Amino acid sequence: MKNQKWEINREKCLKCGGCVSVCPFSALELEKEIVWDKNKCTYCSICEKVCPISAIKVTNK
Amino acid sequence: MYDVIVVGAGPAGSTCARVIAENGFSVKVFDRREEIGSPKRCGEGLDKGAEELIGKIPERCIANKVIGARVYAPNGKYIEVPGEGYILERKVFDKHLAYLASNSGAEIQSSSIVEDIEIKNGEVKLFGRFLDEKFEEKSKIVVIATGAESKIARKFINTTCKLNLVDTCLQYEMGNVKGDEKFIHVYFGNEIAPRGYVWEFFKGKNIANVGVGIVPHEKNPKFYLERFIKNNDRYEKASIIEVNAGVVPVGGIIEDCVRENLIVCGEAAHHDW
Repeated sequence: MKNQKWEINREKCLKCGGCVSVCPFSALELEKEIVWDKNKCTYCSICEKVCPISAIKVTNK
Repeated sequence: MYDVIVVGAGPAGSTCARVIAENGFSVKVFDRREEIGSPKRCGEGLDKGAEELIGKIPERCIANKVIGARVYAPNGKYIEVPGEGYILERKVFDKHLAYLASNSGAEIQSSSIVEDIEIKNGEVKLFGRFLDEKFEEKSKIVVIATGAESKIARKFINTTCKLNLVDTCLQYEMGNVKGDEKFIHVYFGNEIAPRGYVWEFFKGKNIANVGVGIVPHEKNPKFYLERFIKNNDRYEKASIIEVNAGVVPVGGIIEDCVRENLIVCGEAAHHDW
């Protein structure tokens, strides 16, 4: 069983939506805050790479 | 049933709505934010030539006027590029554009999240939420101007940005910064900002938007921005008044931006470049 996690530091997040604009699987959405869809996420970590302040952490081992 | 519904009341959405209303069509605009224009995700610089497209910009929207750009090489030497421009107060400017649209007859509604769009038999049906209240609205045409993070556009057109074709950006609006306010300043170099640049746009009275945009990279823009500030005496007594972040598409515009009765425009169609 793979260790897969998507975590966001909500205190840090500036809600810029950058992660939403690069997500290839439309697993993220910007409403009042970033909304994550567990069923669509592939843990590719593109969102983690684009975040201007490194508020997202993806684990996929 | 409206002739057109516009989703997003940034500069693209509001201007689009104004032109549609001025031409005698009915138009409704939804914006997800509580306050149109806020938060800003912008360095606030605008070429004066934009007035040919959007009309004279009122003085209250303009924080500072510049006469050119200074472009700095990694060794600190610069060239001067002439060109008149404005450093805007985006929160005032965006509202100004929304009021222009509204006064032309467009109906604008903020705090309205559009959750889904269906197009059937040449008719657009839109589902959303205003505060906690669900709504449905119909139109002949829908314009998506929601910014690069648009998820609703992607149901129809692939507007997803590729990771190597965006700049990830962080900006501080700062007080008590020293510098020549008649110019915008842009700094290049792999040590300063990999495949991007640092910008300094002065808003007058020692206020500056200082930001950095880089290709996504092992170090984030915060690292480069803080290093730039730390290495510059001109920031010795500066204060952070506002923090702005954003991701900017730099890979060219989406040419194929129409599907049936739907059109994507503004940053949602990567109109940055």
